[in-house]
Amino acid sequence: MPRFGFSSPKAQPSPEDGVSEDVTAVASLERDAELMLRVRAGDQASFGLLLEKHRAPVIHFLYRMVQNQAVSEELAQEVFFRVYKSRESYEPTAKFTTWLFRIATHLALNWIRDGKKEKLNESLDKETPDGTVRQIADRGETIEEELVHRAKLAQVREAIEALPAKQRAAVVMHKYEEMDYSQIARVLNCSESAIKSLLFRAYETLRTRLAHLAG
Amino acid sequence: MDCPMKAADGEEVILAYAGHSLGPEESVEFERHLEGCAECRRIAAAQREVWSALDAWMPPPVSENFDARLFARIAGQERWNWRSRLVASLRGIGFRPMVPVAAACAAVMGVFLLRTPQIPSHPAQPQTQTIDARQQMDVNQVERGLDDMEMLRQLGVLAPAQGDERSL
Repeated sequence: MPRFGFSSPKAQPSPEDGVSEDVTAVASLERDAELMLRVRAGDQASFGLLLEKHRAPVIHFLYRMVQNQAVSEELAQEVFFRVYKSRESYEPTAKFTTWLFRIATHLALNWIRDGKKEKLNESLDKETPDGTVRQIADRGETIEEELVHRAKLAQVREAIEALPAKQRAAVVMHKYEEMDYSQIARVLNCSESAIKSLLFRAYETLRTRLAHLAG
Repeated sequence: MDCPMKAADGEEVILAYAGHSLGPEESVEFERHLEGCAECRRIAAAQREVWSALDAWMPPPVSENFDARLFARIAGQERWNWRSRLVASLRGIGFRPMVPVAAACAAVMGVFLLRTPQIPSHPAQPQTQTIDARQQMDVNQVERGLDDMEMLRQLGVLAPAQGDERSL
């Protein structure tokens, strides 16, 4: 699987590393299917294990799609609820994560299409839900650096939000979930070549919008 | 190496290189190409910046009660399923099968009611009547027997009784 994330550059992987990581990845995927089959048999503890493993990735994916924490958690609740509800008809014909993210993507795309998103432009003057004034995180930066950092984040969010919904989903899955083209294609139910085209256009758009952030 | 941007999968190579997922031999070859191709250098550098910016976008932590809310919803759905299945099964069955069941219950109740012994209102009277009836039956049988014997004597079958003047 391709690894991205220039902020943490890795040494060139050796062939042995790639093989062992692939074996681990395959074992993990088979474990997911095995757990889900146990859930189908009535083992609720296995559902808890799946939830523990996939809760954060699903919520984070949905957050980057809808850019609203409360909505992302509500949608994630629906994702896992649907997984549980359909346990009796589960068949391991595809990867568990493919199925999981297909449900999540479907819900996110529906939510975006229905236009229920609320603009949550975070400003430094905005109060937190409990009424306290938002504190600037102590990252060892000056206030000016913090402001620049927040401005960059706002532009990144806006650039992602400006992408068409399917391009947004493809970028989030490719960048943050490190899915390969074939798996993204299965999640979005289209061909691998269509996904590559989708992703390349999305990244080209992002390069144009975010190029000025360099330096 | 031909310029990847002129190839069908050119951008895929640049993305892989910028993400450090290109094989070692291909990476060396591409870096040789970058030395002479300004366009690929620009795109590769811009892509690294995009990923660096995306890396900085961290989502907020998950709520502590996420699991509890999910399990509460699942439990609620399970209870609703149990009730809805019960109602659906009763509707699906309908009243037809209930008729023979009701009839059987009525029959059993009827048997119990009919077999219950009646409590007599005057228990002494029926016993006296029975005794009188039996005594009357005995007297009638004796008289009949005596009449039969008289008839048999007259016919000469039996010897005359003692003290009977006609036999003299």
